[in-house]
Amino acid sequence: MRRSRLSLLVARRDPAVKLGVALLLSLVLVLVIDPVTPLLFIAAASIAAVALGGLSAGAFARTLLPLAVVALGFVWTNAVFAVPAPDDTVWRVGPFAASASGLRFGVGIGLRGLAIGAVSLAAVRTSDPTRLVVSLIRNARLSYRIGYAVLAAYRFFPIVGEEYARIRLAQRVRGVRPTSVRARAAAAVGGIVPLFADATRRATRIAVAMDARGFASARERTYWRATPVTAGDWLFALSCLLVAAAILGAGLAGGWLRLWNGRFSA
Amino acid sequence: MTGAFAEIAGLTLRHIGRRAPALRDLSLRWERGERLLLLGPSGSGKSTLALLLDGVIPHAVEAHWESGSVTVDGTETRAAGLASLSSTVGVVFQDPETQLVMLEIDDEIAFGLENHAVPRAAMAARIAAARAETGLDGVDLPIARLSGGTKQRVALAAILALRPAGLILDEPTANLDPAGTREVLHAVARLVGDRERSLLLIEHRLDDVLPFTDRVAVLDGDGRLAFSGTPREAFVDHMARLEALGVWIPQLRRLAALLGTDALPRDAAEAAELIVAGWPAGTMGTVDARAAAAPVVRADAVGYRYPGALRPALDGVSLHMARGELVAIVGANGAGKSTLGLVLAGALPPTAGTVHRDGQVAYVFQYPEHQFVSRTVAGELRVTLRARGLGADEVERATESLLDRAGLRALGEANPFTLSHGQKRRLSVTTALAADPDVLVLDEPTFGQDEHNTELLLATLEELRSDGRAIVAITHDQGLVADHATRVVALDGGTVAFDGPPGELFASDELLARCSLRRPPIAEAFRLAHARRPDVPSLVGLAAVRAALRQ
Repeated sequence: MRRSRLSLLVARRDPAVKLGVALLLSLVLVLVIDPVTPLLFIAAASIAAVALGGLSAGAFARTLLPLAVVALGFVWTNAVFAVPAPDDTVWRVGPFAASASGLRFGVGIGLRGLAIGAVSLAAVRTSDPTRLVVSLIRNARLSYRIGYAVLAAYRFFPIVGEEYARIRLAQRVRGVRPTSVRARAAAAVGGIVPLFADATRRATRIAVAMDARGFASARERTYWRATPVTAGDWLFALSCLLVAAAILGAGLAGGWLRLWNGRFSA
Repeated sequence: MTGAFAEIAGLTLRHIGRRAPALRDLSLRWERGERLLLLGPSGSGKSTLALLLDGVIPHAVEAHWESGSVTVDGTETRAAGLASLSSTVGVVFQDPETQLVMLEIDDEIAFGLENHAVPRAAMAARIAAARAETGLDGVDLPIARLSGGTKQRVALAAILALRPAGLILDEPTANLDPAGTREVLHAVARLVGDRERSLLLIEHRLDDVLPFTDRVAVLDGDGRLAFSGTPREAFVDHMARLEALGVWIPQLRRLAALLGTDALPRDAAEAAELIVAGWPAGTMGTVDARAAAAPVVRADAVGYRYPGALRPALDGVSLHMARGELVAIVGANGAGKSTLGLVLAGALPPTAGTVHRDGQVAYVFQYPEHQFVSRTVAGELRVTLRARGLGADEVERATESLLDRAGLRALGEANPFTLSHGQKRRLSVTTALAADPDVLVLDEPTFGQDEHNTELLLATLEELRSDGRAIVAITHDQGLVADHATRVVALDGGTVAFDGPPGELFASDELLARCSLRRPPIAEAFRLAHARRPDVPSLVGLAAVRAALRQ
């Protein structure tokens, strides 16, 4: 599938700049507690990731899914456990009573978390992983030792998952067929021992292979990937901040913008 | 071109935390431009030697340096820095998965250049040259999507880009399927033809590397130099000694010895000459005339699709295994071999079709560690014996006799994870035997085993087969197929491409190409000989040659 220039507008920007912008926007979002502003940020991040970043809508939604689950948890805890004002109960389920103020606060805080996640993931998921790491090393002073270790680990994640499945299968074949919850937990832990032995051996081997190519002994490094921060990147950062300002301005004008006042209830 | 490229003098080296030295009083010269083949049983210190020569020991991995010295390109390695050593000697390791760091090919090749601070302007030309030398021109997939053989060529390209004067290949084909092996060895043969680099090769597929080997050095089990000399001195004059040390002998040399000559054929064509000249007239291949027994496992139109996978791993597979058979399952990586084994063993329920079992099926995994569930060796056996429903006394008696049979009696209370490679494999096979199976399925049983352990294992399998059990071996080991399989099943993309005697499979160029297989050297030699002397039978392995000559 060929992508149009427009759909790669965000993907082509420098990953470190994107991550920096996401960090700035997250700092702003931390202070927002109304539900509308984060929704607008989520919408803007989705447009950036999908329409301008070349990600499929489904892939971006799947990335956000775990965060959405956590956000729902926030809503629940705040609705039920926030100190209720008298006569504020909206509904009851068994022993749990949700207060309207708690619910409002929970929805605000949940969406805020989701918005921070959406903005950050839009930055990360529209970036080539190698370019992201190299740009962070060169433009954001990330230690190259950490950066390359992260890249090597990135290759390992799918392998570790497959390995664990294979070990559990092998142990089931050996007749480890737990019936109780407790035995099942013990079997799950039992699978981790060989997995850990494997992971250690792999990590040692790859460290040796990296050293054999001069990684540890490098006094100065050069880089194959060119990762210059261009005028286009600064223009992109500025545009993002302008969009953020517009969203906040709209909230101020429309009267729905509410900022955290330093207390832990509405 | 004078003097040694590397010289090891009186070296004794012990790994941290080990009592026995890995290398003992070792003296060895590696001449400039020389192509040196290093052999030795597993645990003899071959890989340690590779790490010493490129400076990883002692600069990145510490060890007890008890005596002696290592000099590379005129400099003592302990005095030199890892930066200069790692660009003088490059190492390609066994497993592509644990030596590639980056996600894209060019980044991977550039990684070493970056570490050695090669200016960016000079990198493009060196990356292009390294790609050309390894046949990677125009390959543009992410590394994760390459085959094992191509990944290994990327590892080779990444080393070549550093322009090392010495190249060490440490079992570069051990983790590859036959097609990947050929791919890598072709690339290596092209590289070292002009002797521009010094080459140290650790490899046990000797028939493939003999054409470009100048000298052979052999380490013994204690890390001492047991032998050094020309291939002819090694494999002809000292063949018996090398066999006693437990190292591999080229198959074609064994063939020459069976024909009563002291020749060392360098390739199948030279071996064919010997056959044409020396095959006793009227000697035919023997035919295994046993009547087929009733099937003990039968698969009918079996399919298997892993959860979330787009394509099924197995599709419409129908076959059977009978008592007294040793069936080899072969095919490229990802063709569905292991999945078929697991489905036959009942470890995975088929998602289509049915499997009928008329007896107990046991499964031995490729990596023995994966199936250890106990803290002691004896405990491993007890787990299986108890699952059979034996009483406490019977369990103890059976444990003792199985430990004896596996030669592990002294290690009964040891932790299985601390065993050697060969011992782990013996334990995993013995735990499967503890289930008293009618069918034994083994995934890559000879993987990573030296000659001695391989012989022991194959003898055990032959014995179980003649006991009336069925053996199913999933394997890339063409020698196992040629010498021990009574039948071979070749898979291609989850379907059965061939099911029949090994001789028939190895006769078909089309099938071999389709299933990423290669013709074993003995089969190739007899094919060439048969074309010139039609009364020579088309034998596939040494076992068949021995049987024919015994008549």
